[in-house]
Amino acid sequence: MERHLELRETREWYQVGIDAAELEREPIVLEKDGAPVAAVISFEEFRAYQEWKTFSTRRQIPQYFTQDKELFREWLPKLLETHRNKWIAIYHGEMIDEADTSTELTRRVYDKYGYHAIYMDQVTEPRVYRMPSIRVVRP
Amino acid sequence: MIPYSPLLSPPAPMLNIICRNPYDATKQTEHIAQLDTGCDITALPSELISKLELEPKRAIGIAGLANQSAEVSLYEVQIEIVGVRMDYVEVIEWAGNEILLGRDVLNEFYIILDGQMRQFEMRAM
Repeated sequence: MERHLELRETREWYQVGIDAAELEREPIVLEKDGAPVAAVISFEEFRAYQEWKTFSTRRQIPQYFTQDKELFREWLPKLLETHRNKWIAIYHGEMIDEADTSTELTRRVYDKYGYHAIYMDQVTEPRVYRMPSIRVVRP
Repeated sequence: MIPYSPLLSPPAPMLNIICRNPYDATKQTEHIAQLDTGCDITALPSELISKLELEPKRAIGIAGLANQSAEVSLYEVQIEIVGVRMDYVEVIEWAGNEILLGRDVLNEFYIILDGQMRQFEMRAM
């Protein structure tokens, strides 16, 4: 939901009533002549938007890498029976190499295919890493 | 001893470290890093991942506050801290400005935090 405010020319300044508590609940859309021209959001939302923008402008992950990652997840139950604890490399839908250590595998794969996005993971139960650091957001 | 950085409030143990692309040493940069014993794994700001032209290697799940989880890509980087070089450190990408040094890296060092004096010591074991 959002609240719409109509802007009216008053010399050089626009006057808009902004209540911080209200902004926490919903954005305010500013309109001129019935058309939306801007939106007012809370500062926290603005910060979150900036972070998202920074994050989303990073280099894109190649689609084949994402597909290879999905393949790894799909194959994992079988791989656990045949390759437990091994490191394997999947490239464009094919398992191209395997090794006992990450270092051994990456060196060999990058030597052969060059340094670029190639999915290499260990055949083990997936682990979730904890990153619980809390930051206080100060406007 | 290294003074705590006032960049964060309260002040935090932070220091400059060198990061390199492990497969192309010409791509290198120096950046501020925070010692973060709460992190299982080290995290690099997105801008550094791009600047060093690191390629994704695999994906892992991470959980933050309230245990909400997300999947992120993992990269390899070479880092140099207080004169100690670590090759092929696996790092994730995050949207913050500083590097977060997790326990995967911190556990390789001898570290003393002197919070009252706002300073710390960090050296190779």
